[in-house]
Amino acid sequence: MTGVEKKQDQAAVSKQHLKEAAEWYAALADETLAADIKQQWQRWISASSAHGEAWARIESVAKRFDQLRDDGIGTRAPASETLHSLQERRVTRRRTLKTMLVLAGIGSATWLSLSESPYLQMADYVSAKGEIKELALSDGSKAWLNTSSHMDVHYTTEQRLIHLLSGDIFIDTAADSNRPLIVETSHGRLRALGTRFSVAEEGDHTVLAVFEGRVEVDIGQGLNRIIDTGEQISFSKETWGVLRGADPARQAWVSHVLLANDIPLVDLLSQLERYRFGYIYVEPEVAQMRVMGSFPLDEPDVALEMLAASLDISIDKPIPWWVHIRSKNK
Amino acid sequence: MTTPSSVHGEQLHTLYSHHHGWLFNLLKRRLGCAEDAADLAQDAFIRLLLRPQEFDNSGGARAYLTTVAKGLCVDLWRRREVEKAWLDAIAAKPEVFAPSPEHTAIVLETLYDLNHMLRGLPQKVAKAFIFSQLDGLPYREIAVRLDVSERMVKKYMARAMYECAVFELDAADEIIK
Repeated sequence: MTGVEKKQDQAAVSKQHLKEAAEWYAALADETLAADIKQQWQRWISASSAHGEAWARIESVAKRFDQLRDDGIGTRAPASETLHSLQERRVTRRRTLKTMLVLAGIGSATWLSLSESPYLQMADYVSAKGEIKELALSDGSKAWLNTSSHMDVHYTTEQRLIHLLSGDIFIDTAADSNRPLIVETSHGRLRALGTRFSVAEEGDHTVLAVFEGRVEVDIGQGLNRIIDTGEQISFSKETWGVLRGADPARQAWVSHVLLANDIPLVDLLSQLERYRFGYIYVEPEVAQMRVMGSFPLDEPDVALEMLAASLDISIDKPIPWWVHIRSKNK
Repeated sequence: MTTPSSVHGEQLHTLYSHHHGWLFNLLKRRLGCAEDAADLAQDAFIRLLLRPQEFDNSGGARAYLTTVAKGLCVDLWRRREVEKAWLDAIAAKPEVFAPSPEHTAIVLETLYDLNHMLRGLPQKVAKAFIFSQLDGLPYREIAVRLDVSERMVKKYMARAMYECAVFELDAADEIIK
């Protein structure tokens, strides 16, 4: 067994090195690059042979694109168009794709390595895929966990701390003048100032929408601001997104309703996919159709039927977890 | 881990005669095409030959072959998806573009691999990576197109590069296994 352990150990080390190498690559590709960054990078490379190996891996990924870029007969433009359009018609989030692969029983080794860390399974409160969970917290506050969400709750005599690990939550706070209620995500800390609000961890950023009262957001480096009733903001560590009106859909899910206010079909489907197992493939000719309406989150398949009834689309399910949506006229 | 040579010729023959019929029918129902179904059924048995499995009973073999066949269906669909996107892109190209069949095959293979590698990434991360690697756009321009900060573009780039490298590392491990 020591052989296996050793191999895993090596793999772990080289992943760390790959991360560093990838960061160097991204820094070197920056046109506004600082003059001395090349020297720093060379110093890093020569510091260890493992660094050199990791760098070679990164270069081999970069080379795969070279084949398409410089072939002299103009392959680059259509190749780029192809990859971009494949990305745009993709409604699946990574999580759904993994679920599908697990269901299909394939590629587990590859995909497990990209999967969520095991600490999520140890969260205090967990909602399953498709589940919307209502919780009564000990201070009288209410919390709702949206589909596939994880949160920890640490209440002390000084503060009420909720740690959102993944997914989204809606909070209706009970007043407690002695202990502030704080929600922490990987991108910042939110302090409720007597309020109803939703918080969503969306990968590289968090979205806060305030429906009543105000919330103070602190994203580190002394950057903080107050978000008022009816406002919504996205943020990542030390970066603010644009302030906009709170999207009613971020509250509607609490009542198990998926609200579509004139959004592209593909966006609606990617929301729906969070609640159902499987993969939805939407043809580009219908992806941008506008949708308005409210759909039942508890029954995503009924929502699909409602869409088929109201839009000019046909929906096939050759196998239960594969949904294919195209124009009815084709 | 499976022990090599646990399925030898005779066993494979038995498995084939017991299981080929229903597997072919299952695939035909799913794919709606007898030719594709015949190809994939064949591929499923080839997989079994290359990575021998030990089965306690016929139910085990059935479950295994079903799983493999489903995976092959997904692969096939994904290939078709890439081919279709490529044809659309060529059709939309204003100037004449007629690469040789060999060249097309190589390009499609590369696109298929790249798509496979990129599909695990969030959309903006993947798009930033394509903009930089294939379109040669500077970060400033990518930031405008994706409506994010330049710093975010740099983060996206590092993440895409890292996950693609890990993906390739894992793919290589799979082959060794």
